[in-house]
Amino acid sequence: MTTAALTLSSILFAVGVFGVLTRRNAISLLVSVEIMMNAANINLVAFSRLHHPEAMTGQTFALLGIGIAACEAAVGLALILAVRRRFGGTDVHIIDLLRG
Amino acid sequence: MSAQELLFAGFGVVAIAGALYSVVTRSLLRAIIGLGAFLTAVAGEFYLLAADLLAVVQVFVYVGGVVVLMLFALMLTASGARHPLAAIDRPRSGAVLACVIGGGLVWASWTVDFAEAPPAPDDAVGALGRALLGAQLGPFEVMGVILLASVVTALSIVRRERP
Repeated sequence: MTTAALTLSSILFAVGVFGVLTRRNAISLLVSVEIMMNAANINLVAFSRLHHPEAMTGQTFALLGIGIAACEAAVGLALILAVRRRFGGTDVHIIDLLRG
Repeated sequence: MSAQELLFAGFGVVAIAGALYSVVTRSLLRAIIGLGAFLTAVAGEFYLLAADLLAVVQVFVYVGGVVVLMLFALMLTASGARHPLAAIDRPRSGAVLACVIGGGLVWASWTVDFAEAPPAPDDAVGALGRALLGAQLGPFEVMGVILLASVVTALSIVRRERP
């Protein structure tokens, strides 16, 4: 079961990496990052099941990870709204104020 | 193959299919719907890994919160397009790099011989609650402060500046 969970989370992480590398739209990037965070959470829960399941350390970690992901989505989407208002689009390549 | 392993494989296939669909489709709306299917399947995996409360939290926070938030953000930024589309940049090199990373991780997880998992505690939800209000109380409290800070940050970012 542990190996199956680790295999699944590895594949999901690779899918998220593909999304982050190939997408240019900010919302798509956020979707890919959420996929990677969920892959990490599956790992945490699988190891919590394997080592001292009664202590719940891994599950606590995954719960806090879900909370952090929710914060990240809220702040990220607020930033996307602000960028859309200022630059007129959500493509990450149009934000080039610091380009020399 | 037991029923639990069969369900685990089924949820895994749904999760991978949803994740793949949401990274390869050009329509942003469909990407978010695919993310919803993926997150629901991951909730099923949590349940099968004896994390009952996490499965419920996953459905409430992710499927009910983050996906709806993303739909709202898409609605507010779509600028009148009926089907907002997003380009895919250099898919070949991205696929090669993702396959290298994923293959390495799968290889690493297959080389380790894990012990058989001990039986799950009967009262998993109760044990998690005792852990959150006992040994893990500090991180739990800090999490609340971070949530508050992120709400204030998000509001102050999207607020229109007065002239």
